[in-house]
Amino acid sequence: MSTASDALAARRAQGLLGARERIAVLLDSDSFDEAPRCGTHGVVAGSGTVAGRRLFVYAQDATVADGAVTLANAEQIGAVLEQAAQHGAPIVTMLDTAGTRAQDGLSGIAHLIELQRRHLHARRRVTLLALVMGPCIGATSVLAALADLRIMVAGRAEMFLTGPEAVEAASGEIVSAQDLGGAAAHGARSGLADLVAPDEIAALLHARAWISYLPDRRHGGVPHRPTADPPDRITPALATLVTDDPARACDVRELIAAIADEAELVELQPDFAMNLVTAFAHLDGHAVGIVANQPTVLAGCLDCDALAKAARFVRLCGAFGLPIITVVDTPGFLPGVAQEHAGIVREAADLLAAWTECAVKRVTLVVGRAYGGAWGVMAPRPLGTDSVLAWTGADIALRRNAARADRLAMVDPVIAPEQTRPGLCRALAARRPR
Amino acid sequence: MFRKILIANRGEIACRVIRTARRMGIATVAVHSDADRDALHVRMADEHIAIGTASAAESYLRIDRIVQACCSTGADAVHPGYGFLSERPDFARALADAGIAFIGPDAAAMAAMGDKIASKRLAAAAGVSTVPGHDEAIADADAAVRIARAIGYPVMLKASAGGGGKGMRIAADDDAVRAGFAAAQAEARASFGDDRILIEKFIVRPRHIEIQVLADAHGTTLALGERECSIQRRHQKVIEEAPSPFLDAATRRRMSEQAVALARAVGYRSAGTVEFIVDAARNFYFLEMNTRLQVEHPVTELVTGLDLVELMIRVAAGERLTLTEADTAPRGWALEARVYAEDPLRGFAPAPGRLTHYQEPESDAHTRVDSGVFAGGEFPVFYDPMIAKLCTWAPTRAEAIAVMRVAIDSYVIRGIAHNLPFLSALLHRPRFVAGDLSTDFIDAEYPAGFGTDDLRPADPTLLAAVAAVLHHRAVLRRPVAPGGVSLVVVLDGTAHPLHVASADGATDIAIGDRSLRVASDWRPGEPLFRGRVDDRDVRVQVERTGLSWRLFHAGAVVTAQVFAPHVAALLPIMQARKATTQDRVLRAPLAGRLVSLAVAAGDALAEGADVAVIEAMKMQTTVRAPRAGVVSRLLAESGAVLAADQPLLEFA
Repeated sequence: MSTASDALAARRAQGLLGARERIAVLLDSDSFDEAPRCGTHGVVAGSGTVAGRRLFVYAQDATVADGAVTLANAEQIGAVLEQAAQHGAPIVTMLDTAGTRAQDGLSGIAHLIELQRRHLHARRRVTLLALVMGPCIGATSVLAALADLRIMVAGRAEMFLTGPEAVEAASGEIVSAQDLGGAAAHGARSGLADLVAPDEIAALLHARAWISYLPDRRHGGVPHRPTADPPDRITPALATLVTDDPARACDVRELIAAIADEAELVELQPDFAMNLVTAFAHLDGHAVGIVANQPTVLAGCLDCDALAKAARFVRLCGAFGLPIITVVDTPGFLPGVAQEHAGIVREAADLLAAWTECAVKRVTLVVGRAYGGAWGVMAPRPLGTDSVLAWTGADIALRRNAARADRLAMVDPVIAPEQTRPGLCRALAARRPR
Repeated sequence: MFRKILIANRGEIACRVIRTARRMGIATVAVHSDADRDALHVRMADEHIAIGTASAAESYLRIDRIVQACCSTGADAVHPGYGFLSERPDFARALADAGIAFIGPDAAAMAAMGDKIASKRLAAAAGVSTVPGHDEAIADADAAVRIARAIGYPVMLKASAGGGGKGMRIAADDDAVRAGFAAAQAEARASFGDDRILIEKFIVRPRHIEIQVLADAHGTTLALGERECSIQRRHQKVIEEAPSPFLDAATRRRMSEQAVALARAVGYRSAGTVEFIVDAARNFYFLEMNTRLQVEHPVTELVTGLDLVELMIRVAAGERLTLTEADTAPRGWALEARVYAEDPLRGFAPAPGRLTHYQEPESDAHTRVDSGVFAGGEFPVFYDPMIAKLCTWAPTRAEAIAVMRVAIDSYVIRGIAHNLPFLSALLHRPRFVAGDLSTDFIDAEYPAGFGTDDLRPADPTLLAAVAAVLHHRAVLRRPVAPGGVSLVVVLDGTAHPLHVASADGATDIAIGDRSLRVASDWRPGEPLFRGRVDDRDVRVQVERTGLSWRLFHAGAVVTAQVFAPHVAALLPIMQARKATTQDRVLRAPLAGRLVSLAVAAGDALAEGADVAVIEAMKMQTTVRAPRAGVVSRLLAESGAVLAADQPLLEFA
């Protein structure tokens, strides 16, 4: 038995797939067209289809020198990135690498910098999705961070710039690699993981599902998925979703599921800045991005993390050309020394900037509280929003209990909660007023 | 006839009374607590009036406010429903004093039947068969032992003022009587403020069978047949039926005669129920008389064609009953299953919350749903956890069971936990199907309690075939290729390889050595799959969560994942990982108010240590540590209102 298959067997015993197996799970059966290898291995690359759509893929092969980045495999990866950019097809990367080899010295770092540059170049043209399947540490972690979206495998993926040894040397703090940069840490604390998958197959199948929401290339046209779910379907349960009882805060995910085609949504960063929900869904067949205050967490207040989460998602949707629906129910910014010192003013300004930079169709739906400055960053009409809908009970005001005489001036139609899906579908279909 | 009836109740029974009153052309008034502002009975009534805060003691039990509500709305009669004030003579008296009719018996009959000792004496005097026992309060444990020996073991000790099983003890010998007497006395004192204890013969494996009576103020008293209510959990009825599969005509006649005799003896007027326990030799013994409309009255209505609420109203208005017992001979068979907001997998803990989805089975000649909730409604923590009564009727018992099983499969309730899987499981037990019932049925059938093992499907291939169709429509979203497509459905960890091929308007699924033809117009996103599998009508509830499907059918709850064969082949490799991850977050097992959180960050907890107390629907539940560990941080605060599964604390 060769050493390569020994290595594969050892990985399987730990519950890990080989690079080719990972690609096979992602792609449609027998659709993989492998790019010719050059020199040493350590990466498997090529193209294939997902639900019939062509995309490019590379998977680092940790059975060969721990998936180290070498000149040869960096060139192979670079070639695949270039092909994807030329074809205008999405790229899925599967990262699992020890980084550069010590014997390559500074030239190893140079390969890596070149790789980073090529990822950046490709990302300007096409959709880039990273699956962090194993260690992806030091400068290689930046390869994952350069992707549009990231999925990390629980208990296995690791991303950090300086490892546990460096942390201990610098501060005496003892921390495990998983606690420092595991999927759970990046799912809940840094927000780097858009999703934490329980295992590799789940990560790969989620990636397949996500691709159905994303265009092939930047501004490449919103994917359309025909549905039998009628656009005029009413949602009676929403009539009682928002109440004035603070003990019965509404779960905005129920609202999103109720209005989305087939009750299907993909939530990004579900455990990070949970006071704001970001999700993909389809509405009348069209993929959309949804940004929503989440009143069940911090009463839906906006803090630094929530603002940053929103700004990144708005830019993402802008780059993909996905229309954005903003659901508003927030009492305001989270007060506090910690928030101010962490730069909440900067984050608020950045979200404002993100709104004005993006040229996609935008519809805002006010379902509850929309007070003062926080309302000002949740896509009100002056920020270029195409239409602003409000539920009959919405409270748009300077602050709680303030007069809301000018409310109507800020809203296009007032709709009953039961009519939300028809209202949003109509607003999305309407020609832009400008 | 009355012009306007106020219903001094809430939930399904208030809605049910309103429906009949409306049909009779009588205006209705709903009363409500603050927690029920948006409740269905409030929406249905012609008028509604707030009577206090959420706690029943401050609203639905406030006689003064309800009388006041009658006066301010001009209601000339009150229907009390069941529970709350329905069996309180002082309520009937207060209404009488205010010149308002009470739709129920008079206060004297209520009072006579309200006391266990007095009612048993009255029954015996009226020639009603009673359980051998001692009907006087017992002085002390020695006296209790003497009496128990005279009756013969086993005996039951119970609180004179009791109900709901509180203060009850079973004793098979002298020592048990001695120990049980003190305990029962203490419990009775704490629960009812009255520590009088009775002793009577304990009937082994009894059935609970009751006779519906109806009497007017002009001397007519009728028995309207029996209901068997032997399927109980902790003395709460779960499934009832009419007629009883156990009674013969002679026993039924004797029970009916005695029930009528008792009603006459107390001058009863209105609808009432005489409860008996029946032993294996069809000896029956008087248990108690309920002087109100019984929860399970719909099964009697379904087999007799009567509207008992209408008859109660007419009798209360002084009308004469023109029915005869011959008019009301039961036809066919009716079943009632009580749908509760309680989680069978968490020891039946109450589960209040928001009904995010709510879709009842279609009502028709065979199916009746009495409910008081709606999609988007809030199921409050303050009251009885019953969501609805699901009733079915058919010519035979077997058919009524079959209709009930399909109705349960079609009943979509989401957002809160409920007992539909448990009800369905009960209806599939061979002992139930055989009609071999007893009040200890549930304990005997589930000696270790009801757990996830009881949710396993009897026919997994059927559910695998349905899952393949769901996956094909919602995920693959394209017509089946000419040669068909192979898939692997993993149901709760077991792989079922199958082949899907299209067949004129249907899908053929080859699975193992079976071939199933599945036809359905199900569309992705719909919570209920209705279809035909071969020639059977099949309904499966469908919930998609991420990559998997949760399916509910015939009492089974399964998780299904569907894979291409080449992906399924790699699944065993993933198993190596699964064992290593352990949940670090302790979550609330049920929704409710967090009364206390008895730990702090840094505490080292032993497995099973008390962590928190959660109160819901007047019941306190203690949360214990599922494993030993150090608390790294608390994630909830005392006093908070929790959702089920909300994190309480995190282990280091």
